[in-house]
Amino acid sequence: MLALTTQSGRHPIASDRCAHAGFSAGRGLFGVGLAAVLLWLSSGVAVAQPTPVGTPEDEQANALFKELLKDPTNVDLNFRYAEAAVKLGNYEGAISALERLLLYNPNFPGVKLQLAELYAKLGSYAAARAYLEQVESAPDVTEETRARVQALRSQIARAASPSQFSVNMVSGLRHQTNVSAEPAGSDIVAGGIPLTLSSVMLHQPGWDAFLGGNVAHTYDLGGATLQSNALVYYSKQFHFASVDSAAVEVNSGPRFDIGGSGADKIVALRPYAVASEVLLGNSQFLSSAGAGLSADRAITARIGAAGFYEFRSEHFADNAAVPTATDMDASVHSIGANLSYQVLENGNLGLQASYAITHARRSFNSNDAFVMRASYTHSFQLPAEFGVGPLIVTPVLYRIYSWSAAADPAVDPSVIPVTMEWRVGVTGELGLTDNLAATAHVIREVIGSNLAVDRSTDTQVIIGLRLTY
Amino acid sequence: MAGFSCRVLLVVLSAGPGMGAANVAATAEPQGVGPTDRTSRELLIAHDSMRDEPIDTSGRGQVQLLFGDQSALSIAPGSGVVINDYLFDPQTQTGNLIATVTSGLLRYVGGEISRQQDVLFYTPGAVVSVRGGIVLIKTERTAGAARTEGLFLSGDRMCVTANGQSQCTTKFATAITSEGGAPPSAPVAVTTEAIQALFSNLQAAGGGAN
Repeated sequence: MLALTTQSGRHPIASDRCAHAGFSAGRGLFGVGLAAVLLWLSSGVAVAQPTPVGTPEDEQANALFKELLKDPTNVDLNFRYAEAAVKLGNYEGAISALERLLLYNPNFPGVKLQLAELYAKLGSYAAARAYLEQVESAPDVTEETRARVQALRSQIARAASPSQFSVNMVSGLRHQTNVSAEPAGSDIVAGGIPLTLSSVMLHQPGWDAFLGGNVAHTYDLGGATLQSNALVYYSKQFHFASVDSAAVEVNSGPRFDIGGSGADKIVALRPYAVASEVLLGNSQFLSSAGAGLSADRAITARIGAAGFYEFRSEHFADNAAVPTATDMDASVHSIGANLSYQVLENGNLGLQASYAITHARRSFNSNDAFVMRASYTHSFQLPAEFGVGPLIVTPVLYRIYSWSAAADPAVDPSVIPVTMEWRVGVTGELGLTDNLAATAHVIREVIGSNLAVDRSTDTQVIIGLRLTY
Repeated sequence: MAGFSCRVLLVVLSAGPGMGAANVAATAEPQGVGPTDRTSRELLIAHDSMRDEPIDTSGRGQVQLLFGDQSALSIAPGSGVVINDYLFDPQTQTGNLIATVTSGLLRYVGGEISRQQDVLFYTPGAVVSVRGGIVLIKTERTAGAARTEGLFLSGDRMCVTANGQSQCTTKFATAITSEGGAPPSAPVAVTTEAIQALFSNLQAAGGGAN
């Protein structure tokens, strides 16, 4: 059997506390944690695209609008401006131009249908239906138009349903210079599963294939929204089956505003329940259940803040890779905060800090962990002739600390381990179609410790495809 | 923004099946809107600045006011609107819009200003504030009492304030009403048919197709 090590690099992990600095630093927080596990995986649908100010498309739209101010009755200009505005996601601008045409001629071919589509894009379904009814009531409506109307009605019916699903899947290949069970492309949160699994390492290079996904469901309850997520991850190593990993988590809870609603709210809260299951080396490894509370609010139009607290009870199972895993049974308390700042029209700075306290069955498995993360996401609009885009680039920097509660007699009874880790990396994502993007991820990890065996390095290169629906 | 030029272009179009060709008159100065037939349509352009500009469509056709921040105000026949204050700085993409709706129906489609701050519409007995998006505002007098209805179609939020109390909505296709200066109602859902009827009043007569 290959000797697994924790982040500390001790051999073999199967005979000792697998989670000293590594496992303990990364435990729990699956509710926030597995969501964070797949943060990179889900970022394609979770992050709203900023308005691409300063791009050729933006300049073209502005130029057309200036022309429009000089010649507002020019039909062609109005259509061209509407088209340019749509490309920028400025649906209101397009609506304004097309409704201007109706001011002069309510029968402009196709305009009401386009307006219905634009209102539908805004989520203003009643207004969209109002235009559709005008289209259908026309005496000269063609079969082709009726078909488009029907298609849009079906689309609106799905979108207007209080029950909404979204799916996000990423699949790809990864190379590691120091093979670990860490989920590919994962975000790292104190107490989170990615950090837990990252501590299981082999000190050998290798490849793996991975598949991750997130099915999100929301149900509009009126004054609140019930949000539920099912997250899955599976990684198959090409040569080291002992670090094959699989994870599934389900969390659910209502989200509601406090102190007003929409932009006026003081804060949005989401209490939730969470349960998860992790396999390591194709054997049961960790199950957990818990509850948490997350909160978020917009501080200004460009600054948003969020925070969470979570408690989780974790139960490990001894397996071939970690025979003493049950020693790590623990309760984990985690807190964290995020700050998001839109520094440019198409650039966003993210700052994140999280802290986890783990009380394990064995004191040397107990620890505190602290993670700081800084990232900057920039969206580049590529020239239209490229046929792809946008290109979203995110450099990221981590500083991770872990302090064990006691020395491990099996390793060095005189040293209470402390680890300090740097991670630096960059993620790139290129939109191929509306639902498909190519992704690439490179990250370098350097772990220092007061125990020599805990020191290690790793470089990961990940390529994959993201599918969203 | 005090140095903004005050340029208002008035375009008056005659009635006709299409737009853009016949009888277009333009001026670089603000003008009142003279009486025309019921089917006329007019377009006002406000580049950077406009103050206390009355727009009266009593007995006349529709008017659309296009602002330099890419917002637009469509005004139905038989309406009275005053642009109390409009300022827009293209450099900073910020500004201000305050208008008074004395009677009738208008549709506001937001631009840069309303993305940054609330735009205010005073009506007899109420104030409608809009952040982003698209709203319809209807004012009328029934039995001598003023009635204001704000209908929120898209955007961040719409609030109606009357008699010292406010009601806000962020849910699309909901309306808030104030009657006789009484506190505004809670937001209520609006039917597609009601929206369609209001839309029709903001289009040229004889429409329906496409």
